Amino acid sequence: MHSEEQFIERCLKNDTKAHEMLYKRYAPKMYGVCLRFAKNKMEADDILQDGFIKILTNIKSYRNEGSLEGWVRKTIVNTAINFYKKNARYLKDISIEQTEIINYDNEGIIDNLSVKELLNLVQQLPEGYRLIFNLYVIEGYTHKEISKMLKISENTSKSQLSRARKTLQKEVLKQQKSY
Amino acid sequence: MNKQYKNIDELFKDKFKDFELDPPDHIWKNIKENIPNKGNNFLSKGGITAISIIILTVSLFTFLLLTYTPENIQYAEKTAIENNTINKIPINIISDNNINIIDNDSFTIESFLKRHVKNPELSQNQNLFNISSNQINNHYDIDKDDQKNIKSKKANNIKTTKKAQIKQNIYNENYSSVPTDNTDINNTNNIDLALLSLNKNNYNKLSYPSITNSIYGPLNPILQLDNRNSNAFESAISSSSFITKPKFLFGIYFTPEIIFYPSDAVPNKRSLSFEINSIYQNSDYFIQSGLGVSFSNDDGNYTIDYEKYDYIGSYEDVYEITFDSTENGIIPIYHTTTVDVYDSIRHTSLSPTKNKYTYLQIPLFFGYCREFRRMTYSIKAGPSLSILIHEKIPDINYPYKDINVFNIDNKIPSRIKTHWQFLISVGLAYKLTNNVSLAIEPTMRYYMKSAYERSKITTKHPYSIGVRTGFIFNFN
Repeated sequence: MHSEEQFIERCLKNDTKAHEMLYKRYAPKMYGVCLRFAKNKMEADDILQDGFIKILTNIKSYRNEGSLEGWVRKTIVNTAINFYKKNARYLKDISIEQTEIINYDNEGIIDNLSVKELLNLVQQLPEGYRLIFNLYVIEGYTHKEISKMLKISENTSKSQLSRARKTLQKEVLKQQKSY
Repeated sequence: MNKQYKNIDELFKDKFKDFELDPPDHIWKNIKENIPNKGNNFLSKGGITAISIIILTVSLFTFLLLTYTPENIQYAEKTAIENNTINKIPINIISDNNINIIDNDSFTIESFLKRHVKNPELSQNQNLFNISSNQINNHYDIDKDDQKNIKSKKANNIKTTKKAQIKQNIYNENYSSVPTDNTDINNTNNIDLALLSLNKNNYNKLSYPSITNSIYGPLNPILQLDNRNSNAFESAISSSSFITKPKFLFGIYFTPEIIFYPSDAVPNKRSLSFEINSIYQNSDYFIQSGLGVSFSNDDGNYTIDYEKYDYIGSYEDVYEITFDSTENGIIPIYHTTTVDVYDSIRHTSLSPTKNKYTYLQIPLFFGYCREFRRMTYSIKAGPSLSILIHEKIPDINYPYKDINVFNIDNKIPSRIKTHWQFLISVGLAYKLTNNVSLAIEPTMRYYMKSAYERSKITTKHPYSIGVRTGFIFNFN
């Protein structure tokens, strides 16, 4: 078993087998990320492909600061952002609802939805909602960071997130009731 | 037991935390084809350009430095040192009929001396044979004790301008005795100098009349000793083995090249060539030609417009309505089911491809070369014809099987079948053995016509920089 350092060294030497190993190691997880950002499977394929081409071409820029997986993930997320960036500037600054997150203190959300069902819900979100929901909720970026990345105002980021949450909550409740 | 979440964020975060799915196989295939091959760093654009410039500059500088000699006589002296066979012959043992015996097959110092020294016993005198090239080179200051004599003799030689006197002096010395010490060599300075000029670089230019009228003035009196000697000398020169003959050489070359298209956004192309050349060399000039194959490729994309039957969303289909009676009246209850909707969606996809081309190359060079010790410097130029003999264009890699393709746009420009280039090259060859030399030749190729069809390429005359490396074989 190769250590991470040896593995990275082989990748830096353009060892084709190491490239393939890197892809096989991280592609399933990154494909999950791509599917969340994408509208459908085809777009996810394109993001994954572009992302890994960037990773394998620019692996020299990985400076061993943080884990390799973190760097790979960041590159994939950036690729996804670039994929939708051209549309992100048209995002509208809509009013932010007072209740951003509805807490289900009494009953809670019961875990009876599969990942596939949740993925479908996310994919059906409008592009802007989906992008910001992913960046904020799943990837953990702040509104300030998102506003810089997408060149939008913080308020736009917040309002888009609020709308995304509201839509998803509605859909989740609907799904739960149908069970 | 089902897990409970406080809010929607927690639910999605937790569910997607370890979400993985195997991507389709064709993605890795596409990635592999799109990763630039960085393994050939040696052949990178910057590397080849830098090496070419360095070699070109060094070669040109050395070539100019070596060919620049203010006085040809200096060159004659220098090169004569290398030609030990001729230099070691003390001229003052030449008898009146000696040169006639020089022939093509058996010209050695020993045989020459055995035949022509007047006193055979003295041919055993090692002093006679120990005249080294260094001694000849330094024969104006052979020995401190003799310097005065030398100077006085030199002075005498200069003063005695009359041909008859010179002829008589040297004639007497030549015919009286064989020299037994180094000082006697000084007597041979004049003719020695003349013969020094008969080295491999010059002898082919000389004939008796040119010698007698050449800048090697001091030779004249010797050659004019008498008619018999001069005639004999002329015939010896014309028939001797050290007159150059035209020769045939063979070269095997390997050439990595980078082709530049300055007016286009296309990336610089690389090519590799293998050539077998024959070289006909006469004196310092040569003609070179042969056959070669050159391999190059084009990386590009097909833009595929297609329609695919895709999932576009869903709707809730009401399959039943029931009514419930409540205190407030009757409430309709809608029973629905989710129906997925599919339709033909138009997509555009890029499909990477790599086209490979093989050319037959027929170069014809005219050049000039000079030798210096084990090195040969050359400059050559000429046309080269490239004929496309094979092309391998892979099938289009469609993103999915069941799709309706309605347009394919090939982004790679087509190549034309034949095109001419003009090449100029500066070469450096190092003699490894008597028969084999290692050659390095930075080459610049100017395309008389682009290798691509002009409809998609703006550059009219691309150019390339490469380094021809190979071996030259001399079977003469």
